[in-house]
Amino acid sequence: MSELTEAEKRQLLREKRKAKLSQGGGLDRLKKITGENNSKLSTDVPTKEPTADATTTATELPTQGLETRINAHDDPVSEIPDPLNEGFDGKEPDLDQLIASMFNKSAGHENPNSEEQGVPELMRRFSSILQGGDSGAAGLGAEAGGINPLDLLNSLGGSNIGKAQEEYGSTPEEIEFNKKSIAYKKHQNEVLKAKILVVRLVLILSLLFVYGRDFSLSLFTQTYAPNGSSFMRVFLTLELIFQTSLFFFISKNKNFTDDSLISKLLNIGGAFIPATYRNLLQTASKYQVLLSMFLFDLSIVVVVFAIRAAFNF
Amino acid sequence: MDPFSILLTLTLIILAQNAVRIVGKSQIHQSIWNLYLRYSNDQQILKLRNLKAESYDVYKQRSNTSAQDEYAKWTKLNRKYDQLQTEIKAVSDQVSQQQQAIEKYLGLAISVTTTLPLWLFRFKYRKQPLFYFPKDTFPSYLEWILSFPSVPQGSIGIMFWILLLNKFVSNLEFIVKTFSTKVEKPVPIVKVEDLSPK
Repeated sequence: MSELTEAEKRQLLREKRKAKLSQGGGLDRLKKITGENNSKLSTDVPTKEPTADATTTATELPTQGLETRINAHDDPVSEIPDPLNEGFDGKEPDLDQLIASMFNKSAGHENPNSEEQGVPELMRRFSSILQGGDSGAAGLGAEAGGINPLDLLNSLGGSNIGKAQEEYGSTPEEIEFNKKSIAYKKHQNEVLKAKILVVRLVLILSLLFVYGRDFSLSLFTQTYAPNGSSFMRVFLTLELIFQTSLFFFISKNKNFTDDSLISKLLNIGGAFIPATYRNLLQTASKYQVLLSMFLFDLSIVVVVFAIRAAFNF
Repeated sequence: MDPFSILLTLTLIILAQNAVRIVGKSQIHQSIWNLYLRYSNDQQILKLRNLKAESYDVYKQRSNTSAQDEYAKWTKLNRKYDQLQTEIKAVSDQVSQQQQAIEKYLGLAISVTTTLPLWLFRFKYRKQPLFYFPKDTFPSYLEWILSFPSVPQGSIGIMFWILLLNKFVSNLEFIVKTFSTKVEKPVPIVKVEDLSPK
């Protein structure tokens, strides 16, 4: 038996494909590939009778006894994979497996015993690329100190989806309950904040009563205050205690800063802000709350002084 | 203007501004419109008022008339009622246009009266101290900040007076609002299947 030449092999393959297409079902195979085999519409192409074209064309080839070799076990053409049928057994394709197998093929190693195959392998490779890892490649993360791909996905909204599901639940009752819980927590925070404000208001007013009742205030000139320095000392000490304790409290209870402008900004555009700046903004929102509290204390003193200066008492 | 008048005027404007914010512009618009509807001598409004009164009378008569016993009378009243409703709708459309125009001017007036004077005061009396603190009440750096940008150290200028008074009022409002609002603690919903013995 003489070996087939390259041209003959190609010709045979072409004939085989043509025969398959002429038998119909090409559209079905395409649907299997794209995973659209759930359609209820009839998409069958009218099948033709087995054509003699393939055979006749094959027989027209100059090689003798070729027809017998096509069906033979050692057919060289049968070893060439059919791209339309490969890997499909009529079931829905598993995308994870497909990606994993594609990746393994493209990486040039197919070790079925390896545990780090498939998607974890893919993630590991992404990770190594971003961190400039084991392959020695100068990754994107080499300068930036490395980016965890999961963090990257999370920052693009992945975590928000999961978070939203956790927060709001799945059934309408759960959603309603969780919404109410969030509103209740928010109100509890507001009550706490209001209580802190009331405590500060009472303490500052007491301070003003104790040390400031002897002050004589004027709209036109600065007067001498006998207890001025004592008032200042106590006021500043109180502020120091208030602010320090509040800072530690805010650090533990992050919901407390929710009302600040920076926190709102973080909630809206947090996904698009790099992690470094996000941390900076979170710290800034804490200081904003402290500044706001200090301004309230100062406003109490100033308003009381203004009333006393205006009405001379 | 003497410092007392400036202080008083500024305080009243800031309080008015906060009152508008707390009550809400739409609420104020509605209240003023209701008053206008009641006491206005505008022809359209008078016509609308008469039509509504007439429509109410016809409605009452129709309700007291039996559709089976006095069908002709009931039909006549019903037709008249429908006609009045059409007329009321037409006049209401015209009046609502008038309402929109009035609300537009009202909103503008509120904004101008509560915002513009503050800017004028800020510009005109930027070097005028409103009042002085007693000596040594605040540390010098705090006195410097409070007198910023151009009043003598130891006094307070318009800029910081507006800022601090706004802060004071908004925080008082927050305290009152928070303690007057009640939010019930949610009770988790337990499904019947969860209670059944396994």
